[in-house]
Amino acid sequence: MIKIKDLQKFYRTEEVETIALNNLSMHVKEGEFVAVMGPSGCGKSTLLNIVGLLDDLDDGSYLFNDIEVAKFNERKRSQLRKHQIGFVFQSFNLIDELTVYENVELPLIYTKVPAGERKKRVEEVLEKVQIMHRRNHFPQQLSGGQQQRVAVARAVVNNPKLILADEPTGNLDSKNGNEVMQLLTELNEAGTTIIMVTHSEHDAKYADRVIRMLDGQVIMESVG
Amino acid sequence: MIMLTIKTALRHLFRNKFFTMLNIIGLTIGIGSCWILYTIISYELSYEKDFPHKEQTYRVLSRFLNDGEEKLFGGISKPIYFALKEDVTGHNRVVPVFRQWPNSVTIPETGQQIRKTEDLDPKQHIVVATETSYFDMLPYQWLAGNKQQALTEPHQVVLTEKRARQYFPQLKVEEIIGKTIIYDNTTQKTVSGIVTNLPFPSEFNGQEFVLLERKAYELYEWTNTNGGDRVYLQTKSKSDADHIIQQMQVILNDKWEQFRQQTRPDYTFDRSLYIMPLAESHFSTYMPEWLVDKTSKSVIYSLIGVGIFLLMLACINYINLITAQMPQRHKEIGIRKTLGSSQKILIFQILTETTIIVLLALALSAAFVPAGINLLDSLVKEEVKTFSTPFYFSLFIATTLLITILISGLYPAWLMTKVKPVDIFSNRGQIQIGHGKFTIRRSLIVFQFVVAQIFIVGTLIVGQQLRYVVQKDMGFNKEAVMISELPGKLTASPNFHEKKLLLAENIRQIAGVKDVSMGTTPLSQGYSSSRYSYSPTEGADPVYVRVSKGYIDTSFIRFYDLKLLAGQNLRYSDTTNTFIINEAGMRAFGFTTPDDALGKIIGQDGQKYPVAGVVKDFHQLDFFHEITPLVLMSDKQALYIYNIKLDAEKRQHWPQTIAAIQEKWTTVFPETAFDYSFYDDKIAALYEKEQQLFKLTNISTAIAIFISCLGLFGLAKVISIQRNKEIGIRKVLGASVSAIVAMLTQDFVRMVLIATLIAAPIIWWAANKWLEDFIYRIEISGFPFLVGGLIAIVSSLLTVSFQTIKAAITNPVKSLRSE
Repeated sequence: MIKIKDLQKFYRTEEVETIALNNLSMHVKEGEFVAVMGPSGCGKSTLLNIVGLLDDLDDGSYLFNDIEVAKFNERKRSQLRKHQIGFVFQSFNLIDELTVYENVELPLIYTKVPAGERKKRVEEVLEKVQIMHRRNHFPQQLSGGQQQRVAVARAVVNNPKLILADEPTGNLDSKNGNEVMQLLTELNEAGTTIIMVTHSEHDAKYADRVIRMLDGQVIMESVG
Repeated sequence: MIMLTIKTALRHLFRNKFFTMLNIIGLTIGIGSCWILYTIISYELSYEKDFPHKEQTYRVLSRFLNDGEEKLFGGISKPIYFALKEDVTGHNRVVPVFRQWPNSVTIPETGQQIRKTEDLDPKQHIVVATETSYFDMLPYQWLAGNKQQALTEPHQVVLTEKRARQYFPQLKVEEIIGKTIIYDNTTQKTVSGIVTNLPFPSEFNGQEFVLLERKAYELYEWTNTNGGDRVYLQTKSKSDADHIIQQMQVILNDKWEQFRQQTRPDYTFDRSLYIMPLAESHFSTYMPEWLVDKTSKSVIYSLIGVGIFLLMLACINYINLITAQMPQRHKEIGIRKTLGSSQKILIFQILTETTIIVLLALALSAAFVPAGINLLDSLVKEEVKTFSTPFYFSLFIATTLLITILISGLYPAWLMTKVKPVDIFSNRGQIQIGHGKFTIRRSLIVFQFVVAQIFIVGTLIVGQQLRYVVQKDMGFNKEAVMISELPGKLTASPNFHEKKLLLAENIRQIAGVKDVSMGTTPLSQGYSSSRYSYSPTEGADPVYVRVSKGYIDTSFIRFYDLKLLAGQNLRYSDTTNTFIINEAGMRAFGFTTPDDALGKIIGQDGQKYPVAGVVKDFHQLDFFHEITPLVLMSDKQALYIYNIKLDAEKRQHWPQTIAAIQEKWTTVFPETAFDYSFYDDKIAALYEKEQQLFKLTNISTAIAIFISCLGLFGLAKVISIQRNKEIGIRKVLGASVSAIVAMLTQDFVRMVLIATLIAAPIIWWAANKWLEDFIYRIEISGFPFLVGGLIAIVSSLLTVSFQTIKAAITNPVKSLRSE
């Protein structure tokens, strides 16, 4: 599903050029659950952003379902993103002005799903993450675990092929963390490909495969 | 989708109550000011709005050439109208509007209404002598009577609805037809028609119409011109009108030639006719006319300018405040983009928020505009307050809304779309706005302060000049002087001249009165003028000088502390036998010293007298005019103003003194009420327009400063948020609160200083332009600029200090923890 070859990414300021990703190559097969680990600043998040088409790459090739997407413009990326990719963030990133229901509904609005269909799907997914009873609450009225469940619901409501999770349990206690990991596992079992950045060895155990990074390069892969 | 957007926008605005409130206040003031200015401007621009064939209608004016100076005059010689009608071809219509001012009107007893007589105020009661063609030209509706027959007989009078209601409040319009009204106790008229009031503001402000009677005109009447006698012309084209005027000019030249041969006057007379499009008439302030309300185009343009500026300030303010909130919104924008929101949707969302705020501001302005107009009070004409044109008004509101929404909303929307979703992952969270040396937002703030600065310094300069004209030594002593004028209608009463002098003597006897003089006040618009000649030697060409003529009594020079440079005061006399001239007159006639002028004979045919004295120049006109040659003389018949000097030391006794004067007045002239004013007030009233300008700039200044400070407030907030971490680190390293406040503040002071520098040359230029009209004026000094800069700096410091101090005293642990 994802084939990245010789990926290079630099960050430049006026005086310094930092190499974030250095000739990185990786493959992810459809239906896989991959964890990416490594110390702070090793380029995990940059990689995730590039895989999620949020950031562009300086050199190399990126095939998404065998289509070269490295040179896609913002509009095309946005198209691909909203139909194929779901995101889960460490800090949940729910929109404060929207209720639980509306937050989950948002991706469906952007993909122009008709209202009736939207209602059905939002309710379905809210049931699945067991947050239906809080559908009219605002994010700041929920606990961290609940917020992350909403975020997961929002990530999957469009039935994406790929979910990108950036330290999804980073801000959660272990009980809530486990619940979220459980949810991701269920999704993966249902066929969704998952790439998760994490610092937690415990979380990494849920994955099929662990990629370890250092200084912008993959240094080790291990099957979980 | 749309519902959700609106819902989100409302929630967002509600969550950020503070900024929402600031935004609404700023925009309310901006839109409200625009609204008020629009009302004033639309009133002025709707003069003769629905006048049929306005484009083909012209006024016929007289253009005089006097001592090389061209002057337009609104009236014409009466016979010209009849000649235009009868002897000249090519016009569709010629309409006379000859104004008359009766002193009183009597309504005889009718039905339940008792007989009543009213003194008429010339400002309200203009009677127009005209012909049926007047009603053909203007779109009046007839409520009673009919156009063809209402104005065919000399005894007929047509009233407007307004006047009919006033004269006959209890009668229906049909019942008023046939009723009698009597002007000046002698001229009896029968009401023959009632027309509606004109539905638009108009210079055709007569309320009563009588028939203009044809009479045989004497030759001299072809050279007399009265400002109240106006003539309107309707033709197919401008060239037709020009052609008519050419024909008429030939007749006029011929009449003048006849007149010249008959009377052999010692003056030249250069008059030509001039046509002015009716559309131009309301704006012809260069040709002042009595009781005709005019507005100059430049005033209208300035008002439009002020309106646009204030609205722009409000929009800029909105932009500043919205972008100030940006860092807090980046997360939201980033998420939306990550989830696949297009730029269009984002822009739509920001514009929705803007629209909601603007609509709220509009609703609030609607509530405040009436109060605002009342606050402006004397600056706004009474008619404006009730004036409305729904169609244009909705057009104005729609345009204002659209412009405000687009200007305010598009830049923030564009900024939002620049947010990169990736930033919210990498915890960079906030993109930097306003941290570089030059940013749009900084330039907007600077622009706001440039505008505010222009208003502040402009106000200071206008104020300085006003104080100067009111306080400057006029060359005569006007302290504690009150003025009372005898009404013109008394002149016909028996023994008037003896009685007025008796009253003067009686007033002089009152304890609190220090002095009394009868005659023209030193500074007044009541001087008449003539061309006086002086022949230095027998047979040589005489020197002609246009002089203002003032009629005074023997106490006048003492009364006003005028300084006699040579010769002596006028001797007591009922008629003119000597002159006193001023220095300007002395120079104009060619006398080298005051003593040189004494005994020289000046004057015009039949009125040549020796110069008895020369007084030091004093301001006989306002400061827009130079001191010109003046001749003072005695003439008992021409004295009708009492100049009364009270005791300046004993102001507390003035009420008793005035009451005593009133008592004396009533004994001598029981038929008219005693009316007076203080001379200081009268002089200040000469600068009414300037006073109004002063008020207007004052108000605009307050608004501009306020809005600019709102903008600064927002900027201060965002900068303290942006530099939160830096402040925290500095504090940990030992920076004091005051050092941090200073650090945060210097940036604002720099912006205000830049604004002051940009504004200075603009103000200097504009103020000089304005002062050019004054012959006697202040010189622009650095002082107002200094004060203006200080005002701007102090108000901006006060505004930002709240935010900066708050930022500076925040516990650094708080700001650093979030990293």
